[in-house]
Amino acid sequence: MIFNQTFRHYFDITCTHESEARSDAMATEKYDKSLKIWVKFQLTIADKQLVSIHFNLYGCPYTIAICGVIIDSFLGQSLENITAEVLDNKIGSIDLPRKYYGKFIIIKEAFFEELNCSIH
Amino acid sequence: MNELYRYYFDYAASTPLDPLVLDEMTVFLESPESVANFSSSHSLAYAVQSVLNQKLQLIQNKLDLDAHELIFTSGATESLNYVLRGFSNKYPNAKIITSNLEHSVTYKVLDQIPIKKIFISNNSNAEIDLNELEESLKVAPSLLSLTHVNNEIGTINELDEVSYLCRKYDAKLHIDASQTLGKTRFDHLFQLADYITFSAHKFYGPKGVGILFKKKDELLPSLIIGSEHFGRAGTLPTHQIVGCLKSLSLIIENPYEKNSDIHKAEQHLENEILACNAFILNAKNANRARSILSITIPGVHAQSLQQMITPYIISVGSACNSLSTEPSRVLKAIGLGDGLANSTIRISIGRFTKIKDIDLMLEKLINCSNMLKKISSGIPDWFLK
Repeated sequence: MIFNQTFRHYFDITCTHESEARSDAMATEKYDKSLKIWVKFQLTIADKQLVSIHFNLYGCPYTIAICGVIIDSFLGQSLENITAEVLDNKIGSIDLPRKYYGKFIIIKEAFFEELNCSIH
Repeated sequence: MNELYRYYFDYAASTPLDPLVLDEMTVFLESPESVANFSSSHSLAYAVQSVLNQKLQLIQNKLDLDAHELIFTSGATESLNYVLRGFSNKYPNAKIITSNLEHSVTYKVLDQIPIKKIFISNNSNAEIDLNELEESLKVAPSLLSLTHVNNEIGTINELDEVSYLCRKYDAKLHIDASQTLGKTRFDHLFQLADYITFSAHKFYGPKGVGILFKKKDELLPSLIIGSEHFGRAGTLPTHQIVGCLKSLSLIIENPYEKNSDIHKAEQHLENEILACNAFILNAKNANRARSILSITIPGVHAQSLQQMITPYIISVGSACNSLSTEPSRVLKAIGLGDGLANSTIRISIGRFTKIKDIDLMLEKLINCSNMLKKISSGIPDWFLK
């Protein structure tokens, strides 16, 4: 597996990110056993800003790096700046290998579903 | 010694080149005779032939191999091809018997050859079913090809009984001993098998060279056509062979059975792994080469752990399979489901591993495992099986 410095950077962001799960909140969970990925997001929104991202994840280093991209891109951002297009562009710019796009879609869907639930 | 070896725990994939082997190769490469093509007929060629033959004779004398011949190949993959394809070409109506615990090359070669194949089942300790084997051997001719030391889980195939059955039913026995040298006793194998595969870079020699031992009367068609020396066509890579023979002589001079340093390091590593409740040592109760440990850590994705534990170098399952997304066939054969197989790493140590470096690696392994377990907390149990 080729894992370059860019992905290593985002991998490290995920591994050092601290955000406690809230017992009072719902979470969105997605998985695909054939792709060997399980992910769960729990988000906190305040004053139309994403103020915390809590997630749990079982997956390969690229999936961990993708969560790092989400944290890096969206934590502390106002809701209007948090779009699938922004995330797609970011992932495109760091050349995620195509074989990991299925896993990316699962993580993306879990994140935005949870975002929508948190907003409403 | 290279500082990086402190972080290297993947000896089953490839061993560092021993400095004494490097010295021997360097001396040879700086000598005038190294220029010569082994098959030429001038004085330099005679000189290089003399050098190689002397070195070879020493090995054959030490191992008492009068009844054997050596074929220098590019490594275990070529040797496996030579034996499996050669047997299939010579006996197209025969069968090849093997297990579900072999190196992936064996299955790739068998997929390509039109011969009957039989796969003998095994238990969770990677012991093959001898009754099933005997039934399979009853109809000759057949070739049985088995690994001696498993490259993924370190289990050792006890081959005395297997060899007896092969002789009883007039079957040929090929032993893939790529992992054997430096990890367990090997000299008895020459009495048991018709063909034995070794690969130099697995026992502190250079990459790109290996030895296929065969009994003198065991003739198989060549894979490569041309002028043959030592049973194989093509210009002999003399410097590689010098390195290969030196690394083999070092193993003979200081055999595994008498190497107390590696025994201590192996014992220490195994004790520490067994003391950690989060780790499951696979085939724990089997007869194993203790320098190869297959460890399952439920809830920890092995590839992520491999990345996180940098600069330490460990393997995910078998290194030869690590580019594949399919779970290891060997791990499945000993009863691990896909989930557990994906959470399995391999740690392998060797001649240059120090106990203090094992301790530092284990400290990081435990920290990284705990971090990844925290990240994956809440994952359903069924996902991990």
